[in-house]
Amino acid sequence: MVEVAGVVAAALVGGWLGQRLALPGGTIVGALAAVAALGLAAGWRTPPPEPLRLGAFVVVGVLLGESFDAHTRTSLRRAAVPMAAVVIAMAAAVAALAWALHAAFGLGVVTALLAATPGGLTNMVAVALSIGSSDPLAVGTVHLVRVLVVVTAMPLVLRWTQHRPSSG
Amino acid sequence: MDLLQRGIAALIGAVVLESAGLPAGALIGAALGAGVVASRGAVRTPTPRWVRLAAFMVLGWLLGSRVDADALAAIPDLAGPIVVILVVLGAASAAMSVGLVRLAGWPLRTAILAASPGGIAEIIALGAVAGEAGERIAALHLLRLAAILLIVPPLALMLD
Repeated sequence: MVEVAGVVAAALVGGWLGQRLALPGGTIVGALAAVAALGLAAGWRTPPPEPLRLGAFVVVGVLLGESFDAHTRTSLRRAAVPMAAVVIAMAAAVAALAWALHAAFGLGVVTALLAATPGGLTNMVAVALSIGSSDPLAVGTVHLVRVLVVVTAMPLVLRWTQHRPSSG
Repeated sequence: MDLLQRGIAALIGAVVLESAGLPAGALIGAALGAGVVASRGAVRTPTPRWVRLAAFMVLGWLLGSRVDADALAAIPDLAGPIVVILVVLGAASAAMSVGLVRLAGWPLRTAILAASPGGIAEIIALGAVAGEAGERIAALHLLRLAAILLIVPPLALMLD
């Protein structure tokens, strides 16, 4: 109970501070940093309860849904070809990257593939756990670092591009 | 009233897709539910700021709770692969963003968010804060995840 209260307090204070200090992506990054720090310092790593986790995803989904209007379908239809091209290009980059990791660092082929693939952390670790020759800790660690770096760097990138001209 | 309608539709969509076991099911189901309602009329009452901030805080909490000593201890041994992965995926994402802007006319920040290597919920949340149109960002991330989940597990089994 004390642990749960501590983690909730860390998330609240961290999120509030991140927002207050106007950090890029302040609420997410602040809560993330505070909870991670508490977990490393005190070993308290209670994740949010399932209903709360689902609730957060629902809210983000609603925010996304609010941007839908009568033109959304047309916009997505027009975007289909560029999106498919991006996915194919990403697949090629991942294949080359996995091969390079295997050749240069001696990672197992499956571990290299699962580590290089930008899928969800949970999904990739689940696949790694189910395949004997892979290293789930390595896969999980790489994905954790990837997501942390992207989530903390993205607000900075967005701020940097705020006043740049864009063509859309 | 429209907020309540969107909320109920989102909840139904989230429960259906999450129960079906789809990746990011709650998020996508909620977006589809809310999107159907929103596309039928103007959004008069947007989601209150405190609800948005609470959701973002929970996302931060979720990510922060995944940072453990074992993962940190493994980082020095994996430093080389991690740096290479970040640099290559970062460069690939940057190149794809430029392609989306130059060839498809996407706004720069939408392209950057859409071509970034995840995670999907956090990127959509950051896009919402930045005021970027979310549908293309979400669609591209969903396509990426679907492709990965269809291709990678069987491929990994084949290579095992």
